Amino acid sequence: MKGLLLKDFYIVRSSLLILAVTFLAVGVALSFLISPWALVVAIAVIFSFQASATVQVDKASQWNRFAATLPLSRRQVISSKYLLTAILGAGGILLGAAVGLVVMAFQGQVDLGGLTPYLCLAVLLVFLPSSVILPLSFVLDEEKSIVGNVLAYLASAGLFAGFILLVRRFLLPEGDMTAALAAAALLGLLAFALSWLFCPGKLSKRDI
Amino acid sequence: MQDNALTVKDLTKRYQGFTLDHVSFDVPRGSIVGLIGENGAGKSTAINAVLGLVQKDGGSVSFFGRPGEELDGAARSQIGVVFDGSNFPELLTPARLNKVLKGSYPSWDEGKFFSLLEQLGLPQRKKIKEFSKGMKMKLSIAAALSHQAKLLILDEATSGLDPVVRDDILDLFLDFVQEEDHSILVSSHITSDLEKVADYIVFLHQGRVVFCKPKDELIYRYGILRCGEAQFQALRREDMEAFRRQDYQWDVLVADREAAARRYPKAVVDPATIDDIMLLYVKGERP
Repeated sequence: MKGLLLKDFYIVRSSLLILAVTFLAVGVALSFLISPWALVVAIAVIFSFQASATVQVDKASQWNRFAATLPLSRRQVISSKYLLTAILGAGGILLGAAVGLVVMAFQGQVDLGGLTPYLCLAVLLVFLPSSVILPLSFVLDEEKSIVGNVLAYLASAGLFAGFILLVRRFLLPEGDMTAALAAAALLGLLAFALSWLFCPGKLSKRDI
Repeated sequence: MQDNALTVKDLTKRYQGFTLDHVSFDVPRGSIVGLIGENGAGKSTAINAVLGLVQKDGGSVSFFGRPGEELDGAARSQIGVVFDGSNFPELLTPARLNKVLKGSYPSWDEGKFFSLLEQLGLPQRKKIKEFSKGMKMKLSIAAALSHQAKLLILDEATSGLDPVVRDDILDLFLDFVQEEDHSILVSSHITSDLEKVADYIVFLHQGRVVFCKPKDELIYRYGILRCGEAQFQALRREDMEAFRRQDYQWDVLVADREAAARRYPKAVVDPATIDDIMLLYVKGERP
């Protein structure tokens, strides 16, 4: 699987560099309007999205057919995309936090406590949509896959907003929202884990 | 030692409007087997089903005497695959591809890969997207030859390439089978390439195997008997493999041209190329 991840790293590397530099510039500018921690969400989502983009690159170059003949099971080949999503998502969160920290330090007001909600939102928005986007990207062509991606992110954002409103209105009207946010993030992780557990097996039986 | 590198038995795959129908053939160790047939005959479907890229609806595939489904990583490393066109993401360079494949094949031979790149005149640090079609094909073959494969499976590896590149690639095939336990299954509709290198020819038509024969038998024994209407009517049906009416004559495919020449001395019997044989089977009629 090391070779598969390395191949994907080579594919996403150039776009990740461009994105990282862009976010650094945009982040510094935006930090005057919103919390710099918002960068954690934006960078993590954009980074993790690159994993499903590599599935389309694989199809276009016929790598998906070649990979199915490697001394790995097709299940492992598909699982490598889930692992890549997790690595990119985690990397995006770390980079976003680092940039946010630098910007805050530059502004002279570091607020570590404010990171938690953004961290939870980032985890949810990386892992919940990916649990749908990744299997869809194997099944759908590039155009339909883009539509699927947009819908998955919209649904995830809506789900998150609905969940928080529900908690605030009925469960914790006055209390600390941290637990609710953490529960939402765990929901995302759970969906991703279930998708990783069940989808590679099903997808590996599809004709390429 | 198992005699066949690949055994395909009753391989069946059904699509709407096309069925690969109980296809059976072997690839004996040390040989090159050419899979021929017109476009849509089922060559790629057969190769995809052999490689497990599509789920078969019936039949069995064995590599080196072991069922395809039971192959472990080491056994799969012994199968090198080349598809039509590029197999690799075009952002990669051959040098990076080397690192990727080194991390994918336990038996990857880096030294051999770089030596093949040099032999084939491929730059190490140029992106694959800047390669010509011939260079991409050479790169795919170099990769397939660099993980100690014993069986190469190539789908239309020479199509769309100029004669010089095709000749280079055919030389690589011939070098590869110098090792007695190395074998190749290659599909192509460029039958002249297979006439140069193949030991056996498997002819697919409409999803079925029409014949599976040694190439020399086809080249040296088969013939085309050309005759007029009256003589055609006098031919014995059992002497005909296939026939086709041309403007002023009948072309009849015979399995033994010397016997046909003796039996029908007034007819002209020419040697048949694989193209001629394929054409008569596809466009002609059967007795």
